[in-house]
Amino acid sequence: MSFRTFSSLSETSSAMWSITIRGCVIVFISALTVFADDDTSNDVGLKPSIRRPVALALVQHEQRLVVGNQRSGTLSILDTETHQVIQEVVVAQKLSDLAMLPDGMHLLVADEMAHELILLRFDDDQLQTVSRHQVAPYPVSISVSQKGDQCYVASLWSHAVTVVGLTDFAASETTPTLESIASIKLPFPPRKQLLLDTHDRLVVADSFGGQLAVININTQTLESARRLPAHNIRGIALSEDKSRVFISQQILNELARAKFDDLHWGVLMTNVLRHISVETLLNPTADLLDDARTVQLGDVGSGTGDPAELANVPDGQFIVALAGVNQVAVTRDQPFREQRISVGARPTAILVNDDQTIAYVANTHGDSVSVVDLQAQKQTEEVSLGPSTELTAADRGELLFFDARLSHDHWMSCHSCHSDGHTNSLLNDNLGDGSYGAPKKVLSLLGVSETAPWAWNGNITRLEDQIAKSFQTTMQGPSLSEEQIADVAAFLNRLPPPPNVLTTGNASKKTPQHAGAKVFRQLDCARCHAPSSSFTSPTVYDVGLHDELGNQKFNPPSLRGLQHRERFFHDNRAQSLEEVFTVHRHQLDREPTDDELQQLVEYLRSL
Amino acid sequence: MIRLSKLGFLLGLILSVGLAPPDAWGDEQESTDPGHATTAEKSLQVANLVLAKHIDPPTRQEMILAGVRQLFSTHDVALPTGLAAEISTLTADEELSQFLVKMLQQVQAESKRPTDQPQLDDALVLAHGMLGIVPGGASLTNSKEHRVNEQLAENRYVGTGIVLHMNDKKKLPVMAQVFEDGPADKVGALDGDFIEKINGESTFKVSLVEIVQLLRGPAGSTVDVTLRQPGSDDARDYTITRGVVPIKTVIARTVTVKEAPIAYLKLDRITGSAVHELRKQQQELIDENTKGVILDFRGLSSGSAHHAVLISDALLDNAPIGHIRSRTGVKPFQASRDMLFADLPMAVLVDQRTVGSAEWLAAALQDNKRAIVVGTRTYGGGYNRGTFPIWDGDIVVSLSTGILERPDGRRLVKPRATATPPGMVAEMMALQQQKVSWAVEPDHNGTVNRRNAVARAYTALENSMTPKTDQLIMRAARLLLADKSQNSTENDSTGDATEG
Repeated sequence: MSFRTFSSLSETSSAMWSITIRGCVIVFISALTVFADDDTSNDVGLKPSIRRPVALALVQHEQRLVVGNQRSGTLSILDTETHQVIQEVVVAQKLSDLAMLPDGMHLLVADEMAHELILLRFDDDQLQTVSRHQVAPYPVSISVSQKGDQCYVASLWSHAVTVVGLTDFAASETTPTLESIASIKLPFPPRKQLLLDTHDRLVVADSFGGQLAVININTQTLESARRLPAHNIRGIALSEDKSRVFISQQILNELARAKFDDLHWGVLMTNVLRHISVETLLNPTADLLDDARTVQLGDVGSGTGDPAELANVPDGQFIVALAGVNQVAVTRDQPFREQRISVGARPTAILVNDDQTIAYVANTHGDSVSVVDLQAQKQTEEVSLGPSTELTAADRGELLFFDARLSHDHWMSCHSCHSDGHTNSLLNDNLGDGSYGAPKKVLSLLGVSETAPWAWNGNITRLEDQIAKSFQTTMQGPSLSEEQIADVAAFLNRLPPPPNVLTTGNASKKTPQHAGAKVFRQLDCARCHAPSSSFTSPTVYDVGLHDELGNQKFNPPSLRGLQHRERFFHDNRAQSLEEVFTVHRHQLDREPTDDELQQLVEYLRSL
Repeated sequence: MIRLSKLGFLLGLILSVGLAPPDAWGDEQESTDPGHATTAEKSLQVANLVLAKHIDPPTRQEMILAGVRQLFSTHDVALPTGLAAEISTLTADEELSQFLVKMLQQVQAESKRPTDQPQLDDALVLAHGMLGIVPGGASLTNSKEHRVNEQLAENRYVGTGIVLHMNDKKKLPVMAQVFEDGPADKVGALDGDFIEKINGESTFKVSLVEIVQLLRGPAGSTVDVTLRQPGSDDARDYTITRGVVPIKTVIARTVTVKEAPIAYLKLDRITGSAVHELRKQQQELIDENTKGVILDFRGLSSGSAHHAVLISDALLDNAPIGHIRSRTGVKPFQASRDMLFADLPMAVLVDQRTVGSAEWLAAALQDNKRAIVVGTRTYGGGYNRGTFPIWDGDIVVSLSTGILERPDGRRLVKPRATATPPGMVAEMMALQQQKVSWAVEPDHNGTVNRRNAVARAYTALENSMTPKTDQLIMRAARLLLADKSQNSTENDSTGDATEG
């Protein structure tokens, strides 16, 4: 059945009909299918590629598992009985999330590169793109209301949540449409979401740091944004009795040292599930920690680096992906007692079926899906999503960057502090500056290839040297070969700088950009933060600051991506960009006017 | 205030057999002996190190004079008169060095040490004398011992996992205690086992120091032992594989006071594993529905400031821990959010043997009103220690590089002017009457002996519930106290409870 459909589609490249209804353009495109030219790889003829599965959905009465692949931009369709991949379809450039609509037939896909929300229809094993809709740039997650009339798209570098209306779903005659209803600005780059439908609230978590925002979906306003002692919040779910919200997160202790012993005793980095009562969460003035409890995952001797998505399983327990150690854990609300189950490489997404007997796990770096029997508490099968192309050095480096088994006792990976290559904006006391006793802000690695020399004291002239040093003195794990170090360097060199305001649409309409640039030039900021070289320069400077050990010369950090970082200077002493000038008077030889200050900060935020 | 590392001194004496130059003895000439010059140079290095690194060092002249006193005393020679006047005129390195050489020559000429005693390294003798007057206690250890100390401080001691004693009667070493789950325990060693052979060699009449060296080794290496229980005919042979021996430093007991289970946690020492052990205890407390926590810091001495910072951070929620004042400046420490035993009231027991960063920890809990402090005034030895290799790395000097201060800036260090040697009971008693700022004063005074420690703390906690008491304690007390009966059934008889 399916083969005939494929072959007929391959003969027609794509047939397009444009129908304009009420000003909306709906494009009916036959899905472009993926074929291998020769049928040697497998039965279905899947093309060799690097997929990177990041999202899951069960459709067609749970007969089909849809897997969203980030890198290939494809959806892999699996038969849940045979666990075979029966289709693979390109739908996006960079797929970041996937959500199913309550009708069990429509799917939403977020395309992080095209900045689109894509509506698809899956019926009788036929996948069709229904429409595409522009949302705030860099969408990374979707949640859908219970009724299926609205969905919420969080956009990372836009720091926004777009409310998108899904209209005309009830009527099967009319074609469904997507319509942006509102855009809500957040004080941080968001990622994970939890929709609390019955309370008309949407909880959105910081992608890198520890903030939680609560949005009132009726008024479409931001009700609260509060900070937890947390970073890398990569899982959020409601307890079975709906009274508590569980989040998976990490805690970096800024008072600990990146030394073997603090790491060994679980004091430097801890991986936890934290749960907060819904009541406290939805009370905008309540202290989030009022009735919060923390459940430590892992113990001395066996860390659980990088906890990711979590889902409910029977008996009020949770299953949580431990992305850095290639396992999932089933845990109750008790530390030190979780059950660990081995799965594939870098599990980041989990989906549990309706009767809670099976958990499907997307192994992002394994390009596979694990099928976990929840009663037996073990993996019954790891299903490959298709053949892979050969990995480049940068691809291999990526695998190492996210691997927590490269640290002593597996407490953390590079990603644990340099979240997705960026930063968790926290302080760490490591040997990056040559000694202990002066904790320094974790630097972003986005665009790092252009910002030589490296480290806060500018001592590192080869990126490979810093990588080797970090693995040895901070991660304290097994030593890496020169080739592996080179691979990590290749990965880092591939990381582009964070997007600037022109593509994220964060520009304030009030202040034109060139005014701030003028102030920047007049105040001579360019001397150390030269626009032509990524807003840094190759020397170290004494800017009137010194750390606890008396070091006075600092390597100016690149100003690219400032809007995506919190707190500034080597020790985070400035709580905001304004404070850099108003409180710390950074390199000011004259007093800027209020206007100039505002323009300058706007300009800096736009970099 | 003088604290010498006894074992270090012993080892130093043993080591000195190798360190003393071969022609140092029996040289009667007046001319400068190259051995003496080296000794003088090494001693000066120690004085210079202290002067450079200590937070409040004595002058070099003071130190050298103290060293010389020790030298003469050790060699049983009467101290010449006029030394203080003489040394007061010397300031340059060379002058001090020459002075030392002169002293060494004099002592050697007149030394009354019996010749059958092991040779002494005068550099070590001088160094010990010098360090004896350094505030906050300073010590010398050899680098091997130092490594072991570091391992112990991080609770990552590598060894066989036993406590060793010497049975002087039988002249055999004894495994006084075999740590649970340690390497020795794993092969079947028992508490009280005599060690008759190590690697096939008899241990009869072998010194304890040598036994220790024989038993030590890197993780993964093995040592063969022959053990025998006292009075047994059975000699048992084992091969022990050395490994990391984690030691429990938080000893927990649950006691029931007025039907409420209270956790009593005694900290044996402050090490790198403390926070981890406290976290584990927290889970136990939750399981047992505990209503309060008593931390016993009595006899808890020093420990590193770094570990105390980590413990303070774990026990406090977004609160100032205190400062460390060093020669480069004052560094504040702030506890992040998240705290252990939240919702449980806490009491801390202290006494005059609570020293160093342990006092600092108690002060942080007291000042932030996180815990009430019960007991007697602490020692007043709030120093932060640093270690420095010297003499080509063979020896490590430990000295006070910083002073520990409470969040409001008060230093937890007894002012030198009123320093009293231990044993001056009358003076101590006089001091007891006033409250001082350089130690932790209890909120509820009274000698707290082992028998009634818990009851005392509980009563004090109950008594501190007034409308003025901090919100946290009030809130926690409501959880703690099921009923508010007036009389405790376990009143102690050694003193009255006074309200702080």
